[in-house]
Amino acid sequence: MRSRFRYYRPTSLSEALDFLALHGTDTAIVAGGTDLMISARSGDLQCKYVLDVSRLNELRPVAMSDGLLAIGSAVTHAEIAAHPVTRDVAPVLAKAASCVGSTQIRNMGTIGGNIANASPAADTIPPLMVHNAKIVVKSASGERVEYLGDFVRGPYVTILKPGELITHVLLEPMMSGYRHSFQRIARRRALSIARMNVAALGLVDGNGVIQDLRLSVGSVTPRPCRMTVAEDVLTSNKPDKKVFWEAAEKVSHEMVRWSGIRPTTEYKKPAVEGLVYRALADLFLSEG
Amino acid sequence: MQNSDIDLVNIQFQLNGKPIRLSVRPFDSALAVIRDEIGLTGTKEGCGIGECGACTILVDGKAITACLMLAPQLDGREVQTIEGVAEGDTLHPVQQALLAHGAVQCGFCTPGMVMSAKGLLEANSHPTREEIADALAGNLCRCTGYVQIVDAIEELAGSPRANEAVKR
Ligand SMILES: Cc1cc2nc3c(=O)[nH]c(=O)nc-3n(C[C@H](O)[C@H](O)[C@H](O)COP(=O)(O)OP(=O)(O)OC[C@H]3O[C@@H](n4cnc5c(N)ncnc54)[C@H](O)[C@@H]3O)c2cc1C
Ligand code: FES
Ligand code: FES
Repeated sequence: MRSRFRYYRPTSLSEALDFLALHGTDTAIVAGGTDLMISARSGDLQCKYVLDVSRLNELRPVAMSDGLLAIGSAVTHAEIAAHPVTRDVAPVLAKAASCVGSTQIRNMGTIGGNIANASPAADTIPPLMVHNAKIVVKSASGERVEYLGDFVRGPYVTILKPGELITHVLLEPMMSGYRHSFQRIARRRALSIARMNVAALGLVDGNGVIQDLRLSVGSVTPRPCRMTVAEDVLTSNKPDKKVFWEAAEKVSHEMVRWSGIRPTTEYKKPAVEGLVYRALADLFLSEG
Repeated sequence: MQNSDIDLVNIQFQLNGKPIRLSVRPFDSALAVIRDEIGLTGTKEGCGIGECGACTILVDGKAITACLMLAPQLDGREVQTIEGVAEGDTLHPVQQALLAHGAVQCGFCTPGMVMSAKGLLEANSHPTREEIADALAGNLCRCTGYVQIVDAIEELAGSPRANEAVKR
């Protein structure tokens, strides 16, 4: 049976925080509703109030500030995919946002909802990881800033406490000369094991040697992380197919190290290796 | 639970160009309110979880799935449903294009397809075939109509009627 709750739509961020200070433990936040409405329909959502933050202007900016790109939590995937600033300084995130769900889902779903929901397959998470993203969290009593890798504790678990909400994310802009790639495998949602995604940023110096490489892979570790073992294989090498496969194997080793051998490993191992290879080849061997 | 135990939410919005006011249950979906309270049943319920697109409506010109929107979120918005698309007996250019291409095989997915196509043409009156396919990717068609649907929108987008499709 459908969950039942009251609805409250604050007109300012401070009003939202005051509401959460009083009712935080009984409240679920809603932005686009694309995750929340699924659990409301099934009755899994248990709360007294739903607090609608989707129209708060304070949660809707996309702008550079103090050298970082700030994206409000209530900015939709469609807006991120189309925004000239994200396309310019975080093209790997813009690309990922353009791959989410469908036009309808992108018009509703927000980056804050994607992060707070913390699905292992969330498409914005690997791009945010390669941009060293920090999550800005506010409550009536103050503000804290956490790296995304610390903010998400495990599948569908974050360190967000009752009374808090995500106001925005902060990304290091992609420096000039870097290349980027986002790749994903997406089947129907019901088969969520088949969802996997990779974000990569890379810089090659004048001698054709990889100077910096940032790689994050969704759905293979319990928490978002950078694939440093694979990054180390690539850095200081020239990009070629052999070293790409070597890096891809490091990633699948990481996956097995975290999750052990499972019935799905036989399918997932070649899939993740193929996907990492595809991202690296796209990064370095394709034009533009 | 009786409705008397529930704090109803008063909302007002533009529905197919006309203002409407009503009280809704805070936990109902926009789809439930449009179909069951307002009685506009052209918007269909398929999956109820955002995957089929049968419930697509335009909110402030953008295609969304009404099954994933909370009814109180309609407040203050400009909403279009399939009922607002045809003018009297004159079909909307998108509907005419679908008919001309034999792309209407059932009454179930078509309203959602029309709304998605309309949302696309409002933002981009001359989309490429790829953009059309992308805009319709959230609308499932279980039969073989899909190619004809994209063909129909592509032909419309390439014709002078595309501008008319945008205006209406
Ligand atoms: C058909 C379908 C396809 C999808 N496809 C994809 C896909 O391809 N890739 C993908 O990554 N996801 C996908 N999703 C999942 C979903 O659309 C995304 O996770 C989306 O970004 C969620 O954002 P939202 O604003 O709709 O979240 P909501 O449903 O509004 O909220 C989600 C969760 O986040 C919390 N929350 C929201 N905003 C805040 C905030 N500011 N502060 C704190 N907590 C907050 C809510 O309390 C809730 O727990 C899909 C969903 C559907 C239904
Ligand atoms: S009924 Fe809304 S998407 Fe299927
Ligand atoms: S025409 Fe309706 S499902 Fe294909």
